[in-house]
Amino acid sequence: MTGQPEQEERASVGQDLAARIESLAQKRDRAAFEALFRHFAPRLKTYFLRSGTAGDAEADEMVQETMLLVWRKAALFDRRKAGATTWIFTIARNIRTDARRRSRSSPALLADCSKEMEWMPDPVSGADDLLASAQQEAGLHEAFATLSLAQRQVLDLAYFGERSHSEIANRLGIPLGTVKARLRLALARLRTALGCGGCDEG
Amino acid sequence: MRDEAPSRMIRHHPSEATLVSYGAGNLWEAAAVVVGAHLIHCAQCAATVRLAEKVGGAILDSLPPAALAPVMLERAMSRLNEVSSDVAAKADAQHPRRVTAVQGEGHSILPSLLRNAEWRWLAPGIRRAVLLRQPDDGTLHLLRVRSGTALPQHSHRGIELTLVIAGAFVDAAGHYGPDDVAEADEAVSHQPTAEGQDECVCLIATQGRLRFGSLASRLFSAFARI
Repeated sequence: MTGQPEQEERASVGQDLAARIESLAQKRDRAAFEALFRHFAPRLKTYFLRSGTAGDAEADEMVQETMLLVWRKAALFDRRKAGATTWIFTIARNIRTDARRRSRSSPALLADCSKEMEWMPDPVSGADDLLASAQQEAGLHEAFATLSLAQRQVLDLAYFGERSHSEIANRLGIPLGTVKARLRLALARLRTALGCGGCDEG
Repeated sequence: MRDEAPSRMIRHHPSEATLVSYGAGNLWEAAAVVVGAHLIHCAQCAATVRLAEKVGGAILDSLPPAALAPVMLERAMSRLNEVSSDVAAKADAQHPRRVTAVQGEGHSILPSLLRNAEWRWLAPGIRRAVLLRQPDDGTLHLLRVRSGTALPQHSHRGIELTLVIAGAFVDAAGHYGPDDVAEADEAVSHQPTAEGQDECVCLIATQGRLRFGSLASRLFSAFARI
């Protein structure tokens, strides 16, 4: 397989980041925090800037919030369930959601609901627990390259762009059904790449 | 690890596209509440959401680093002391979701939704409570429909997600029971009818207004405007 050495290197970087998060939990390791900050903070800032609502100063503050949560919640990290980048992505994603909610006055009841979901455990432990998450994440990078440009574009919009598929359809000037089909196909390809084709189908 | 509550077979699920946007944290909020409630009881969809989170991780990792003032690291380091670590959170967080899932016979969010609902009469046999209405986040409704009552034939602008909380309904696409999600988009015009012995309680997320009867045809001219 081409790119195998690169994939192995990515996997080892992933294992290394995971070990640092564990070190935060076990030893309150400030050096590990610094290393994690240097790796993730600049990427997190890009993430928040691309997500639309945040200006430069807000993005900086959201980066701070994310990294402080990494420090606080490190004990919850479980590398069998999620690799380091996936875990930190979910923290950043939740901070973005909170920020959106703060920007309008949302009924408290909805805030409660989503807290409820925040640390949802893995309901189907099994097949994909056995595969190291860091290995999987590394495999995903390679799989991205196999997506068509059109699939990649829709995927990017799903993560960073419009908040409804109808809006994505409008922006691209294609039917809603095509947006949904492209997302489904992109996901199918990534799922196959992760070797969990049997995980679920729907 | 498993939800021990007796679970019926879930037959209808949100689309994968919707689950990806949920995992991406980029779904309009009314829809996110409906999907979140479904996930509590649907391991299959939860697995898809976790895949979307892994994709999110890979995307995050591949983003070009932004310029960050060096002082940012110092600021973060200096704030570590003021943040207490959540050692207690660990024990706390290992089970809470499972507890919620096992405790509640139905949906754990249902009690708070019902407590806050202000029911309004909508039509004979149909009562509705609006829980959220925001331009970018859609409208979240609770609907109680007496068994045997049909909703008017309607279609939608954007997507409509309906989660059955109690009871059942039927439309041209099939029968829907507790935990099932019906996802209807612009192409769908349907007339759901509550069936079974009890009233049907549904949590519904909509974008834009529903379009009834003869208005349905105008939908397509309108949908460019969302």
